[in-house]
Parts: sequence; C-alpha cells; structure tokens
Amino acid sequence: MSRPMSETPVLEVRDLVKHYPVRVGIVIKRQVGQVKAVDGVSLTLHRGRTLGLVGESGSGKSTLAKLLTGVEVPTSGQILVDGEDVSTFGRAQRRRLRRDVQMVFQDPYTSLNPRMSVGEIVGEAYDIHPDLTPKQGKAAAVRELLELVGLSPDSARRYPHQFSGGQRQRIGIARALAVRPRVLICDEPVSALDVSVQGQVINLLESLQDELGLSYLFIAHDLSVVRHIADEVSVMYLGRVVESGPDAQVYDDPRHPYTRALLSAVPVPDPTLRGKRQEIVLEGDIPSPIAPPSGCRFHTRCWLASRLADSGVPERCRTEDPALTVQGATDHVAACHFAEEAAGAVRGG
Amino acid sequence: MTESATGPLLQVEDLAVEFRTPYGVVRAVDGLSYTVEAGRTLAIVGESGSGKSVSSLAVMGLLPTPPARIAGGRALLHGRDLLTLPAKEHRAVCGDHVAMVFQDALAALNPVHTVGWQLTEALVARHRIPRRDARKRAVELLDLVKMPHAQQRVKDYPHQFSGGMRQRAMIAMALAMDPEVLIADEPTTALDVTVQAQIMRLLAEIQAERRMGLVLITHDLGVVADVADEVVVMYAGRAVEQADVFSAYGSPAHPYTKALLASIPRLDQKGGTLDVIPGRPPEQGSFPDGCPFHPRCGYAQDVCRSNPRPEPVEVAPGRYARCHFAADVMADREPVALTKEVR
Repeated sequence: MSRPMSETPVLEVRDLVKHYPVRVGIVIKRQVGQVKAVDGVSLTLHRGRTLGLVGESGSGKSTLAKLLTGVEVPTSGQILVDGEDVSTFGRAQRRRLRRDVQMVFQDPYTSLNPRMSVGEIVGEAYDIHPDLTPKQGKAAAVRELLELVGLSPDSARRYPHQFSGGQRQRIGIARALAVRPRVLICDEPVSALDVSVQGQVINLLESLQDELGLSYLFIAHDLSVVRHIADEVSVMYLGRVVESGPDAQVYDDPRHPYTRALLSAVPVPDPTLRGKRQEIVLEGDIPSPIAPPSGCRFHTRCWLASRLADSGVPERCRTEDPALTVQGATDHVAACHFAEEAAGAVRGG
Repeated sequence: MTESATGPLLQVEDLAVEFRTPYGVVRAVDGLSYTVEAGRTLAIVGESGSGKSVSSLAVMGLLPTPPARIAGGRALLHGRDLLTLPAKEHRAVCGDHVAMVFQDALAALNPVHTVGWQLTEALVARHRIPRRDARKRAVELLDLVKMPHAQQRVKDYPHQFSGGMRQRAMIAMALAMDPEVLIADEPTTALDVTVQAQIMRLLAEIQAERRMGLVLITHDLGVVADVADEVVVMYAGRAVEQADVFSAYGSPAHPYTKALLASIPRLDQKGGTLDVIPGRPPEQGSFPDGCPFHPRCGYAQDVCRSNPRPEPVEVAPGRYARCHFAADVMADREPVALTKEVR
C-alpha cells in the first residue's frame, strides 16, 4: 500500500454499537431484550477508495449504513468524518455532515418520489442547502448532473415511472451527487437491476470515483460485484466484522471459516469448474441477533470447529469471543481462534 | 411415482403466448421449443421481460386468459397436448405430473394457515388419503427437504419461517404431488448465497433420487453453470440460443449470450471496466424490428435491422442460435459482411 499512514481516513468507525430494545406489553411496556444489530464494528475508509461490506441478510450491514448517514443514532461508539467525531457536532455541523456522506439506495422504484419530476428530485438538494447552488442556477446544475450520470439533460422534465430500473438508479446517483459529497454509501445499488444493466451502473460508479475522487462504502451480498469494485473488504456476521483486509487477501487467502464458506457458495459462471471447486455448505440460517451464540458467534454453524474436535465444537469457540487478529499482512485481520487452521484447510483442499 | 421410460417427459413445441393490452396485442413468448428429460436439468435464462416465466406459466395453465392467450404451439406431456385441454383437466394433468416452485415463497404460501395444514390439504386433495395419514406424510415431506424440527414446524405459519425455510416448505409442497417434472422459477433469487447453496443442493439431491426433470428459470448465470445440463437463453420472448451448458458457456453462438457472459463480474477475476451491453432489455410490446437484440449488438448489420427476424440456425448438432451470424459468433471471428463493409 502506497498510502501514507498519516493520512486521515475520510470515514472511520470505532467500536460502533446499535442495539434496538425489544418491548412487550401494550400499556405497560417492558423491555425484554435487545436486538444487537451492530455490535462493535470498526471500519476505515480512505479517500478515493472503495470499502466493500459483505454478509448475509441479518448481519447488520444496512443498520450500519443508517448509522453512518445519521438516520439512526448509535448506542455507543464513534463515527469520525475526517477525523472529527460526529457525536460532538452541533446542528450546523450535522447539516454539513449530511452533505459529505450521501446514500444510494437499493430499490430504484421506491427511493424516488413518483410525484416529483427528475429535475425536482435532483434539484431538491439545492433547496435544502441553498449555499451549494452553483452560480449558473439550479436548472443548469441539474442538467450537468444528469449528463454526468449518463442521462439526457431533457430527463429533468420527466417523471420516475418513465425510466427503467437502471436509469432510475442513475437518477438516484445524480441526486446523491448534487450536494458534492465525499463519501457515498451504496446499499445494494445494483441488486435490483437486470444482469446486463448491473455492469453499466458499476462502470458508472467507478468512473465517477475517478472523476470526482469519491470514496465508497459499497454494501452488497453479491461477492462477485464486491470483488470487482472494492479495494478493501469487510465481512460481517451477526453484527460484527469477522474478517477485513485488502480485497486480494480476503478473497484469495480467506482466514475466517465464514468468509471461506461465503466465498465457496458463490456460483462461478463456468460449467467446467463444476464439481472442482471446494464447496462448503453452511447449515441453517444466521442466528437471532437478540440472543447471539456465546463465545464465537459463528460456532453454531462453523464447519471448521466441528472438524477440529471429535467431541464437537472446541471449548474455546463456545466460551471465548475471538478478537480481530492480524493475519500475515498487517492490514488483514480475522476474528477466529483457529485462523491458521482455516487457511490450512483452504490450501490443503 | 411411475417409473419413467427414457425419452422426453415434457416437450414444448413452438409455444407462443400473447397478451391483450390497452396498447395492442403483445407477443410475450414466440416460437419457444424445449424438451425436458428425466433426471436432467434445463435452465431457462433471461432478463426481466424476456418471457421466461410466462412460458412456464403457460405450460402450467396458470396464466389468466384473457388477457393472456396461447397463440400457438404445443406442450406435450406423455403424448397429450396440455394446451388444448380444458382448464380443469389441464390442472389435473399438471397436478399429477408437473409441479412448480416460485420465487416468492411468502406470497405463494397461504398466510392464514399453518404450513402443515397447507401440506395436508394438498395431500388429501391429490391422493385422497385420510387426513391423519396426510398429516404424517406432511412431516415426512418437511423432513425430506431437511427442515429442522419438522414435527414442531408443521404447526408454524409461513411468516414464522426464514426465507430459506419457506423455500423448503414450498419444495415440500411441490414434492407432495410426486411430480415427474419440477419447474422452479427463480427459486433462490431472494436468498443469501449460503442459503442458495443449500437449496440448490437439496434440489439436486431430490432430482437425482426421483429422476425428476427439472426446469430452472433464472437470471443467474452462475447457478446455471453449476447445475444445468441444457440452457435456453431467452431475449424479447424468443429463445436466442439453445445448447448444452458447456457449449453455451465455452463458445456462445449468439451475441447476447456472449455479451452477457462477458458483462458479469466474476469472483475469480479482478477486472477493470466491465464489458457491458449498452442499452437495456426491450419492454414487452416495443420489441424492435428485425432481430430484437440488434440495437445492443456489436455484430449488427443492415440485415439484422429489417424483418424477417432471424430463424434458428443449427450451429452444431442439437445447438441452435437465432442470429444471422451465429457461425461467426461461435467461432469468435468477425462476420464476413462486416469486414466487407469496413473496406
């Protein structure tokens, strides 16, 4: 990595926690538990780079996105933008923060107001942040933005229903870019699109990044898409990051058994590889975040743990919560007591 | 289940489906033919609006008519043409031999009855067995699809299941009919990759055990590469390429197949810019003249822009592609006409 160590990350998350109370009762509400949606997550996003965030549904990816955009307030932990803790921000600064961190949503059908024209949707940002309106005026700015995302400037007069899914996603991106953000949180930005259109939006995001120096937090369940676009990857499981590192290391030399299983489950579009890939099928579903398993949260589904000891899962996995530890390269971390064995199981086949 | 003889179980020939819309008649499926054999998997691949789901709904007799109309073709099951049967008989024949699994299990299951009740009801209706036996059989079926704690879970409602478990319940319901052919319409699209792997493995096991013919409708070329024997690639209502899976991926003969394979990001490759297909899939009712893929096609010539549409070309024994330049596309060389034009 040629990145200077001194550079302040554009977005940093330290030990972020979001618990939602579970209440029962209609008149007298009692709290009976907590949904530990995000439970101690740390991430670092550097300027001009893309951090991919992967994991199954229920792993806390989208809650994290909500915390980062300020839609939800964290239970504890810190979010730092350019090294400044956002929880200390006053009203004006928060407003400023919302400009810096913008979001692109998954569903281009529900995330655009059908009663507003495209011009109004994209230009609305300038009504909220009037100081950002360019000298040429709002209309000119909207036209420029639409051109930037590959739409005809005339689109401004039309309404969302007149556009296809891919075009709507472009409108969503134009809207996010209107306030000149530095970080885009993309929550499953291509998963609702047709296969042949996905590539177009991915290419657009990449060219915008080069052109505008944007940083992306790219949340997706499609590991192939993340491999394509991300520089660094973090793998989440049940509210925690279980493995994190540069994309080549995480994909080619995964150290956490969950990462390994996740990668092996992705079908590769090449029939000649059929039966030749090592496939690990995880049993069952992700456990409930209300009562996550003791010790390592993954031990209930871990294929490695059940192989290590004849008597079932090793004692250590059941009782001791593994911390993220450095694996080989300095910026490759994984939270597994038996990371070496996991890597060995991969290499040994 | 009847011991199936070798030979096709289900034969679809030249199927055409039309819809009446306020904007005129739309031909959603046109000239589709395929054969499903015992123990084999046929994948129908296509993007939204390509007609892949409509074609199987037509075979099952599940399309509302009107607005839909079978405009031509046959669907032969044990020598009987399903499409000419009266609706009631059609359902009865399909119920005996063909079952379907849908993408959205939550919508396909009845939310106000337990999964066990629904399974029992289906078993009683189909096999005319006493309710008590049907209940026992329902638990066995859930066991078969590897539902943990099947004995307790029969008493649960669909909303109490996770996405993967719902899909298992749906497969159990389909299996209750002892089908010879199972049509699975995007069975794993809404699921996580780990759960997708579980479901695909389950389907493969059941298929091998019962020698079922499986029709897998999907947009995921990765899943197809993993499980299919034959592939039908659909675009704008027509099968643009039909081949065994190894040929289709190894040397695609239609520009659409070729471009689609090149445009998907792959787990085992870190790439720069993706080779994308420009434009977007045409919408129903506004398919372009000539070859419907021509506005997005790198091989397109004048002949592609004008009618008639290209007919299937047999590029190799049993391999078809609807492209004027199929042989060139397959051999990965520039079409002759193109080189002439350039000079």
